[in-house]
Amino acid sequence: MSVGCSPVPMLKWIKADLHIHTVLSACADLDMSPREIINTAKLLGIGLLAITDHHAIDNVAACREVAKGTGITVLFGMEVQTREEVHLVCLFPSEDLADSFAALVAQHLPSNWLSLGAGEIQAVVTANDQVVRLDQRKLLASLDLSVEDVCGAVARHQGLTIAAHVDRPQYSLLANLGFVPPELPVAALETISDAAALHKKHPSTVGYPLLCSSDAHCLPMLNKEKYTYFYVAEDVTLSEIRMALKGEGGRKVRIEN
Amino acid sequence: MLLSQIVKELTLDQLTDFHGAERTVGGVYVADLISLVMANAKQDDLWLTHQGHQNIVALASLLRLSCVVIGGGMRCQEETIRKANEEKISLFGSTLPIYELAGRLYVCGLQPSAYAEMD
Repeated sequence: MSVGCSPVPMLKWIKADLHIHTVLSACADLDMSPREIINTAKLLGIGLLAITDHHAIDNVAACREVAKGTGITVLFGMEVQTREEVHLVCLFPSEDLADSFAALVAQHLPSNWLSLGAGEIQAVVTANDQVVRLDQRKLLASLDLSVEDVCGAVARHQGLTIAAHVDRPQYSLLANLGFVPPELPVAALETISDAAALHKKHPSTVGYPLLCSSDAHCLPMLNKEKYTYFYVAEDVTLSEIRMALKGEGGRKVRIEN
Repeated sequence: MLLSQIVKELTLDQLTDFHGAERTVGGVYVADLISLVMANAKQDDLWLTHQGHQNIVALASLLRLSCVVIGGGMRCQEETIRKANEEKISLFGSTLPIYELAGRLYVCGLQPSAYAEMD
């Protein structure tokens, strides 16, 4: 028995979805409440979620509260729209760091808030699905920050940046910027394509880990053909995810049907 | 049409060193999505856009575009300007809306090839 070494944690495969919207995103259905999301994830055997509303983190804590005792881990996340209209999923290791990042984002949203369209609702809710308040500012707008600025700010908040839905014809790194900018510190690319097809069409994507997330705006979207699986310690943290994306310490990631 | 003439006609702001003033502009391509430009722009085209990200330089260099004009008063990142000078790509700026810029280019005689053939 070795002395002075930290014990090797038990690793296991965990089904994950790192891009989910709640009722705080105007484009999401009203059934995307913390209870419904966590219940659906439980039914689907998803063990790791990231809640990623547009430019807001207010509903993450409620989702984490509902997830308590279920074995499901919920990460603090946010989906950001850069100056170039590129969508980035940003994940953070703690509420404090996510809060601090959210404050920074608020400073870079347009000062002349657009109002919400008819029927659009952005609701901050409790773990009991009670509405705390309605956010009337249109949260989905481009920040006055470039993709590089956002990646840098996320790194300063000890977070991870994932380029969202890179195969979409708009709001994606590949459509808007043509190719992955050299040395952009994105931890992974979110795609629905298989690796070979993506690499053939976009050679600049070679070398980046790929993830498959739902970008769910309604409950049925959580049920997908393919999922990301992480081989990580049972007590999942963002650093476990970081290790898996880098293939360190026996941690790994794969996409499977 | 010479690039230097166009710069004068449209009173464009020079964002980088002026690389190849005597260069001929072959045509114009207007888009903000770089993927569209990759697929459609041609050598010697003037690229009219709102996009100020550094990736515009790599693409302008790859496709051998005559220059990039960033319209609508959009700001261009410092890194973009630095890279453009390195790659000898001319970048220009204008506070005019890109519709207005496109219109002026058209009046200058830079018409889509299909229309030019009709004359």
